[in-house]
Amino acid sequence: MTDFELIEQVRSGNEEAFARLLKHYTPYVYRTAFAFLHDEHESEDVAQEIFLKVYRSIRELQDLGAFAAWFKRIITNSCLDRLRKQRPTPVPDTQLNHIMEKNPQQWDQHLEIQEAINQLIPVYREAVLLREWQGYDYQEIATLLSIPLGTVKSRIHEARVQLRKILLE
Amino acid sequence: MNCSECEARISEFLDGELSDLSSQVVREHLQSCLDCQRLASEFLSLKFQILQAMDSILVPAYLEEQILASIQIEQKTASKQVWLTSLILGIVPIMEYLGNNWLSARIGNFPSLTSLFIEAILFVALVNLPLIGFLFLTGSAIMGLGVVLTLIWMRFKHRRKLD
Repeated sequence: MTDFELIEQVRSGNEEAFARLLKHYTPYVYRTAFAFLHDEHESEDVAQEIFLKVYRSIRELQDLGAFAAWFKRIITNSCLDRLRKQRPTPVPDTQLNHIMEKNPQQWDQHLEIQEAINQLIPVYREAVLLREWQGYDYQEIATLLSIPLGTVKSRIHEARVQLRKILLE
Repeated sequence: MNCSECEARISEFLDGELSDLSSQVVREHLQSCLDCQRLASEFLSLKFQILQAMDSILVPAYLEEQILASIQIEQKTASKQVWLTSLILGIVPIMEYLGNNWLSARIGNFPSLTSLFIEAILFVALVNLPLIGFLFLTGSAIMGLGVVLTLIWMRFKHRRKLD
C-alpha cells in the first residue's frame, strides 16, 4: 500500500490504517519531540497531542500530496509551542561531569551530541534542529518562527559554533 | 575574501542558501585556506552526527498503544457528542410542530407569544428537566425530613405529658 492510499484510508476513518500510520510515524514524532524538549514524559505527551491533532483534522486536508508537509508542520508547531512553555533547565557542567563519571560506557557519541544540543539556549536549539533534523530551509524557518531571515542565518550559524565549542570541551 | 568573512558565511554556503556568485567566492577561499576547510568539514560532520544522534533516541515500546488508547477515548467522546447533537436536533422539528400546530392554535388570542417564543420556552424547559427533577427530589426529601422530625417531636412531647 502506498502512502497516498494509507492517508486516504485514514481519512475515511479506517482504524487499522490509522494504527499503521501511527506505527510508521511514532519514532520520528517522538524523536523530534525529544530532540526539542529533552524530557521523556513531555515528549510522550507531545507525541500523543500531535497524533490527536492529526486524527481530528486529517479530514480537512484537501490535497493528499501535501500530507508530509502538513504533518511536519503540526509536529514542529506542537514542539515549538511546548518548548516555549517549558521552563529552562540547563544541565550544569558539574552534573554533566557526574553523569560521565557514573556511566562512562553509556556516554557514547550520540548521547554527547544530544546533551550538547540540550545545552544550547532554546532559540539556538530550535534553529539548529529545524535545519539539521527537520530539513527546513532558512525562509521556512523564518516563517515558522516569525523572525527575520537574517536572524535565522545568525542563529543557525551561532548554534553550530556553540555546538562545536561544547563538543570540543 | 578573508577568513572571518568566510566563517561568517560558511553556514549559509553549506546549507545552499548563498547565491551562485557568493558561493563561488566562498568556494575559492576554501580551496586556498586549510583552517576554513577544517571548519566547513566540522560543520558538515556535525550535521551527520546530529542526524545519527537523533536516530539513536530510544522510543518507548508502549507509546503506540498509549496513543491508540487516547484516540479511542476521543472516538467515544465524539460519538457521545454526535448522539447529543442528534437528540437536540431531533427535538427541534417536534418543538416546531408543537409550536406551530398545537400551541399557536390555543394561544392565538395572545399575539405577543409567537410560536418561536413558545418553542424557546419548551426547549429551555426540556433542557432543564434534569435540574427540575433534582430540585423536586431535593425539596421532597427536605419536606419529608421535616415531617418525620415533627412527628418525632410530637411523640416525645406526648410521652412527657403522660409521665
